[in-house]
Amino acid sequence: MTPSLSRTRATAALLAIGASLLPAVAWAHGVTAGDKGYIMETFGIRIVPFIYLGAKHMVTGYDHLLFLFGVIFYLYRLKDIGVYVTLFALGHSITLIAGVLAGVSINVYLIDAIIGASVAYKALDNLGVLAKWFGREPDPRAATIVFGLCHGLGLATKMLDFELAKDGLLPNLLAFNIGVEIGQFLALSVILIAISYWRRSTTFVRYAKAANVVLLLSGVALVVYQLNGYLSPSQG
Amino acid sequence: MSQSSGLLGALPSTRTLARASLAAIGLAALLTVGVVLPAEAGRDPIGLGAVLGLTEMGRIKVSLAMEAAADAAMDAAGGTGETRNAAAPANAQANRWRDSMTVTLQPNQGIELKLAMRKAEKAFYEWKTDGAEVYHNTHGEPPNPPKGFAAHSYAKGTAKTDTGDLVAVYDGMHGWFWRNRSAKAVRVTLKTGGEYLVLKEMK
Repeated sequence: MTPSLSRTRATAALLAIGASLLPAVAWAHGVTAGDKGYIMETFGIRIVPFIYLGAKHMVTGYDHLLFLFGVIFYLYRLKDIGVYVTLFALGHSITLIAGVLAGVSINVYLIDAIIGASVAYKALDNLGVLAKWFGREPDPRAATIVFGLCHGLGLATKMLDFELAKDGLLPNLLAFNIGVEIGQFLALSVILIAISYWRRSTTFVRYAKAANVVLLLSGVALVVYQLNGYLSPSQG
Repeated sequence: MSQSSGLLGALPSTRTLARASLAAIGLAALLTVGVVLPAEAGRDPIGLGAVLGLTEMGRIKVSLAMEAAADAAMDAAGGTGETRNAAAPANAQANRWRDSMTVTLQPNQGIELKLAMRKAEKAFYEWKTDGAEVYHNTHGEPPNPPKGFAAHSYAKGTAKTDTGDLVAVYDGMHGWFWRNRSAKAVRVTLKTGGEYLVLKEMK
């Protein structure tokens, strides 16, 4: 009982640590370090590096992971999981590719606040609160596509921040998108295994509600944190 | 994943879960050593990073991090040192070149030439390499930028030559950073004219 719960806790802790290791872009005298520096200093088609960067962004992006966690919380059939993950992937592929090609960049804080809101939404949905508020449950498939579109805008903004060269843009972009799917698959596998262990124990039933309340609070915290960043004067 | 073995709606068996866990741990170990280590640290113990082309990314990122750290240390130690100043002719005339400097970049080397300018002064420039493309970032900084200050970027990209005007957005050093990502040494020649104090190589 307790071991499987603590395993989930450990997974969550690991995810949090992984997120905090996200290399910050270091500026000094025009030297840009990190992934952005690498991209700015290289050129041409680089398929594998961009696949890697896409996967890295997804695996280290705790907000995307929290959303996926919420989406598959009550799904245990592979078929259902496949459907939702495909819908989500479809949504964010559209806005990622279209957003970068059209140069649509949304303020990072705002888009991250929306992604936080998607986490809160999914938690409310899992708690059955939305059904109570609206009389019936909103179509979860439509919601997954809509939030997929939002997450894709976040990815596009990230890509635009890399200031990609025109040379080889489309192949690199497609590679990044493939990387996002690979990263999503890897992250989902871990989440799914952890949830599956947990589902087998009676604590799942007992704490499912609590888990979604925590998810809700995380989503709200993300929204507040990002909006605070958006409104603080230091951001340009 | 191996959830499919269960009946419709049934939870995966212990065996399935154990197998999936083992596979995940194995894959995670392989990815850590074969992909993440090369791409982040430039180390490639099993050679997969070189096959995938990710070791280069790690090496570039490590060298950039060291450069950024060196710059930060230089700032802490009291600003930038100047190594050589270009000889500036006394009478600067509009639309005439005032200075010219040629630098040689070894593979992977980065060099910065900057104009000391007062706010709103307008200089013009032209630079070209002796053949290969170089990465360039044309940017400017105030004299004592606060920690974490983002330099103002005028232009950047990869090219063999570039020409244009530079209007200083604030008092400070404005100019060019080049890096040679080719396997051979590249010579870059810069000519400058217009309004500025002095052209110098930054170290």
